[in-house]
Amino acid sequence: MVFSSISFLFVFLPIVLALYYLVPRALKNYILLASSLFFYFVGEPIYVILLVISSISDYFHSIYIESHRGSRGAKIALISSIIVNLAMLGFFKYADFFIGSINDLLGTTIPLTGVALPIGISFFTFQTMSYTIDVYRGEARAEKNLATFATFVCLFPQLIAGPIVRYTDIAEELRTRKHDLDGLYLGIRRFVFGLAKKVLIADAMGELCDIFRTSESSVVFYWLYVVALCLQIYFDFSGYSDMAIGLGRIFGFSFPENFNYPFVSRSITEFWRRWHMTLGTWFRDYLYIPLGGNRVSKLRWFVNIAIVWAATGLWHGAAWNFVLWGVMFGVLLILEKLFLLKFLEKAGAFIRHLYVLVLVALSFVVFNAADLTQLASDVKGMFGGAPLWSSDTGYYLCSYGVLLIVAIIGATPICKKLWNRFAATEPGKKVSTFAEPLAVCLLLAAVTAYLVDGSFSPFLYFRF
Amino acid sequence: MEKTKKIAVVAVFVLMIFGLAISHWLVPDAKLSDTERRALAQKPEFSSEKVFDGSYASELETYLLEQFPLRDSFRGIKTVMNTHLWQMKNTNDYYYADGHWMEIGETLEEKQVNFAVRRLNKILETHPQIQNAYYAIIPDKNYFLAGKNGYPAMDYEALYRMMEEVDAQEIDLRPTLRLEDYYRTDSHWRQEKLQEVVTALNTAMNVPVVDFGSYEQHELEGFSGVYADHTAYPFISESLVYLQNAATENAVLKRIDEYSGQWVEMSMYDIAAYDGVDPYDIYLSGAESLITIENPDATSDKHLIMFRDSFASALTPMLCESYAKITMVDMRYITLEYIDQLVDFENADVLFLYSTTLLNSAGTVLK
Repeated sequence: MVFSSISFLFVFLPIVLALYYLVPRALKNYILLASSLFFYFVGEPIYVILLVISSISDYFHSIYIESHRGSRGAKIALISSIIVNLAMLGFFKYADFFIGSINDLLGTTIPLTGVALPIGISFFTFQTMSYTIDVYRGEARAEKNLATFATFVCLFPQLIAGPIVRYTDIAEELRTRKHDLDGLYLGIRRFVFGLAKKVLIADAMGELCDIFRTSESSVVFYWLYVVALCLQIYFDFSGYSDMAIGLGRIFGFSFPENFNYPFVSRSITEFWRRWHMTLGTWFRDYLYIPLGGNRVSKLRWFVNIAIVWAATGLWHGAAWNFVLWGVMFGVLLILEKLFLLKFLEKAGAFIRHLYVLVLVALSFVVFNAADLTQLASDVKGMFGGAPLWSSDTGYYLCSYGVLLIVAIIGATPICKKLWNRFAATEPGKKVSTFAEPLAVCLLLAAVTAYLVDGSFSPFLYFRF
Repeated sequence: MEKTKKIAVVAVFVLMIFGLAISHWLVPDAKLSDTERRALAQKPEFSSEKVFDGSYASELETYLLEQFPLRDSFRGIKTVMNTHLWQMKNTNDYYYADGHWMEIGETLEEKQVNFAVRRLNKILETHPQIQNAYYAIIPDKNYFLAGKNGYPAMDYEALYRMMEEVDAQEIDLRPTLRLEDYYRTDSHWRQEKLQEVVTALNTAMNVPVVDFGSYEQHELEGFSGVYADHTAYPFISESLVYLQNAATENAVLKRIDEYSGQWVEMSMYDIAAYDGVDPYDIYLSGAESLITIENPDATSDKHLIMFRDSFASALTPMLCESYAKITMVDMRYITLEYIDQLVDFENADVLFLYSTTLLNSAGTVLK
């Protein structure tokens, strides 16, 4: 089940909200746990068992670790817990990728497993791993209540698309949390805006990307595609994060932020401080720093960066283009640390923005390529391997022009800043009293309209 | 003030989410969608097998989408947003230009048009008793809208050139038609605007020209054409117009009943059809394989056999004044062999009257 579906918005969510707010405080986690398992079960009826296994495994491992703190046993338990999580991830997400790669490399014919990828496995395994590691490090207390811990692992708002919530982020709230008007208001507002970002903008940009593949190409259309692709990925992912954070607030949780207008960055280093922040900090805390971070020799430091970014690429998908994507960022970050940042600091803001936007755009072409052949063809097309213009280019540029402008402006903090400044004034306070409820109403109606229209399928014989 | 705002945001959200959820639950499921002219998904049958293979969840989502309360109104919101807010060139392949709705045109399908040419020539070859043969092509709205507004459209000139292979005299209707002669929310033309078309046909086919001044105009308000239905666009209000005079009232109409194979009487205008799925069906009851119209007071004793599509339904009432008998054949619903058993071609004039849309898919739709 996805948030941007009728079954979630108008069946699952109202039922869960009603039950959650009707039951006594002591039962709220049970409602969340049951509804989260159901939420996952609807999309992955078999793989829900993985969630249960992951929860039970890390629950017992961490209790053991805490009760044997400082002993060799604790270390073995930690390794065992990580192996369980990585084995799950490795088998379900990467087994066929590695088998396929070995077959390609050695000419062998090892049969693929053919197992489907369980939704959200990268998110929940990373969350449970970080929990056990935190317990081992003494940064978190082991949760004694299995239901409470399972609620953390399975919590549906962030289960399938993040942000990556660490146990320490919400440990307190799992036991006692406030449910008040402020939380509901902020949560609803955030959820509806995230939903609108996903349905109204990301999906339209996705449409344009699909159209590009079947249209008469041109250099300008290649670049139009790249812009649309960047906006699609950003609005899709950040929209989901907004929805997750909003739903979290509705249920009394404060999830960490995941995006902070990444396209306004002036360096790739800054970009990764603003893009998928919870993943970046996860790799920093649980891989980069344990590898030694930057407190090692220069060569080892670069190796550490390379490992982290190859892993980051691989985390996004089991294919070589994702590895390439991660390595590309690793190389750029190393170059920035070596000399580029100093050079960029002297360059004007425009050059710095352009540098980030072009490289990020190229990186998403790598990210989205179905295979290396398509990647080569896309890059060639962008840099002159197609006619400069085509009639399709003009048509679709006109058709999606307004949306592209809205999306580009929406990807910057301009509107938010202007609105916040205005809303802080006396007239602004009065206007926002009406404007915010109206915006929530209109956006929800618009999102519903776009979702409902997805079922439009006319009988076409009328034409004659 | 701040608290009022917060309460209002929560209230709006709760009312919408719960209101629509409860409405969905309470409102009985519809069997058909009038606007899309198709059956709607019904509540899926529950089985553990379907739950575990994932098909229950997807069937349930389809059911919820198709039975959503105020579904067409919500679809209309999307159309209005795409058209007026985002200024998109089209929405679900329909576009709005010059006050008209139209669907994006298809490219010219030469195979389909060639099929039409062969089929029409076959009729002429196998019926040497035909007196005079004519053909006329009705350009669809894209002919007037597409190029001018930057939309793709078929190569009309090429289609007209291909149709010249039909062994009949062409009656060019292009100079007689303008965009205003079509409904704004429908693909079809307006009966009351066909004076020039009728004059061109009458003149070319050597029958007395009909005077439109003799007709009384009747308006049926709230007409919603097929494009209004498909786009759910709420902002165009039209009236469907039909014309009556002594000839249309006194003519005797019969249609072949598809089940019994017998001729049964019918009326020129089926006003009850206005409330049906396709209001344009008021003209000669819409889709019919074979119709005869006999006019004892006709200004000629000629018999016209018209091979046609739905555009002819609104036109033929204006032709019946000039012909003692008109036989209308819709080859989408009847085979040539069956036509021969039921239609007498002796000394008849033949008119092939087809829209560009049909000719461009003739191979698929003609029997």
